[in-house]
Amino acid sequence: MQVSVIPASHPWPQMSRGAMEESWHRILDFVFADAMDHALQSLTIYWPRTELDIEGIALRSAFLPSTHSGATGALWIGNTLSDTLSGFSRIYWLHQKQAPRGFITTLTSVKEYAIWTHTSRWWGLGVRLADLIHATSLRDRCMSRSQAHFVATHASSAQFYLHIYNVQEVSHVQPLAASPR
Amino acid sequence: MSNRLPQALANLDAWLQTMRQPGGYGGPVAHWWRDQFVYTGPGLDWRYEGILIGYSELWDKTHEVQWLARLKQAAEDLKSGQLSDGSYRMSRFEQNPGTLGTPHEAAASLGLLTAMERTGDLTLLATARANLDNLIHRLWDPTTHGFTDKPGVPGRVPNKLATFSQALCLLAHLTQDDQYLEYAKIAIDDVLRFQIDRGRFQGAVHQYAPDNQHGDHRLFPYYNARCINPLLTAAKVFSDPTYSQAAARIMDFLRQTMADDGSWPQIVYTSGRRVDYPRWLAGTADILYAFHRIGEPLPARALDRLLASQLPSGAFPTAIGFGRKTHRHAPLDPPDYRDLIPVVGWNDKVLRLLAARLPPATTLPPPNIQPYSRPARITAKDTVFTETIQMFQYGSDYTVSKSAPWAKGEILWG
Repeated sequence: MQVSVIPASHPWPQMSRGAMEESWHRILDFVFADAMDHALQSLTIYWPRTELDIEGIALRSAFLPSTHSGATGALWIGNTLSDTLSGFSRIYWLHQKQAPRGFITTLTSVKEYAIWTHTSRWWGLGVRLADLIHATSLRDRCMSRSQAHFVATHASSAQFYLHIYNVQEVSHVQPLAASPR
Repeated sequence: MSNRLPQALANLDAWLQTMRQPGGYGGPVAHWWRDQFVYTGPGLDWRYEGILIGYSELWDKTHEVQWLARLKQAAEDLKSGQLSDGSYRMSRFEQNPGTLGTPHEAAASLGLLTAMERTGDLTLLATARANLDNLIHRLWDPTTHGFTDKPGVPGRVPNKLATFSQALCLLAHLTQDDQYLEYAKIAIDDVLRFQIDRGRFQGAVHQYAPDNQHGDHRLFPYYNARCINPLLTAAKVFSDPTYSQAAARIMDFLRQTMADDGSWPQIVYTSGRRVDYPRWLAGTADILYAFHRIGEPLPARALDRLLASQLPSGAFPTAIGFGRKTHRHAPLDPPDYRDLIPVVGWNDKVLRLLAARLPPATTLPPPNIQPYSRPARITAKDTVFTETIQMFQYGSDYTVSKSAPWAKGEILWG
């Protein structure tokens, strides 16, 4: 699988530290695992020029066998989809809207991941409180629960959402206007 | 025990060979800090410490060429996976994919230097030296005159510094370059600095010192055990009994915290609280290796518990009680999915231990490994765990081909 990164210009939060960095690593893992599972010939990552760990992309690209399936995928990072995604057979959309609307109703084979769920964030607050009162064992208990709830594969409130679409039957992807959360 | 050990070792070696894929030894990782069940490709991390030292022992004791071949192959993984700055690709174990893993890169280089002594291949020395030079460069903090765990973060992790120190001692010996000894001493002295000097947990070493001044009051028997061998090395290299006395005091802590069944709790806090689970199975080998290195008899119950856990595949499972990490009363049976999964980066520790305990000139019997299935639990859902030579599987939800760098299917949470 050939991996390429194309800089984009839209805004996106930094994901370089702590739980944000962990979110980014998990997202890349899900995307690469799925892309390999579906034998994509290429994966294009639209990278919004923010502080994201590009080395993580390079490392994940290290052990990928080449395929000639013709199937192509794109990872789009942003709250509004771009029509530049037309023609890709598998789309990975990382966004911050809990219920995106629009063209997704026409697509099939959807997988969803909620990343850094709000449940996890609540337990993360417990970690901070435990730090303040130097309660080390309480901190570890809160941390374990925060980790256990970090990702959900069912509908769950979260900081990030990764939707995976199989668009083989769709000839054109409509741009999706931003919708209120 | 003498009859059991060669067969256990033969089966473990056969299992390890099933875990190879292009680039090295792969597979999922279950750990206290985090799990990695999605990326299952090669990891150039501490798994190479046990693999390279274990196969070096087998070569020393038998002079059978298959062990030398294994040694060369594993050493080549590290050599070809070295990046331009000297770090190893995928060196962060449970946090892979990533680089600059601690203590992983130092542990792998320690293995590489051990292999170099057997193979005479000077390119291995160059690889390990470039790696350790990079660690010195990236982790040295001139302000506090010591090695941090991450660039720019002042905290110290004593057990990791112990491994780093041991690798530097061996590098100094092989290169005859004494500058490495200065760094090795600074690293191992940070272990002494965070060793508890009085009270109920006298001798135990704090897991972490976030401000480089105070320990975090978490005492992991496993990580304490990993300090023993480096301390004994330091005692010899620096001709200073302070280090061996420190090692002996850690042994007191290990004896004190061993449970009746030969297991150890995950964490003991200085407050007296404990996290009992998960209790390591394969990882227990590093604790037993500490007993071996210091010259004490291995606790029979602990060794029996370890050997009895070996799976029909030849591997050793990771732990008992991962489910209790988040739910104190979670059932132990059926096991949590993380308990059963055999991990190369834990099984290498068993290889190192068993190879060290193998009587000289022992030829191993032919391996006898088989596929198997066991009931297991993913959160609240019952499933069946299956392992064959080619793959791991949890019901129809999740499959890892041992030859593939990425898992297939739904991820094991949610």
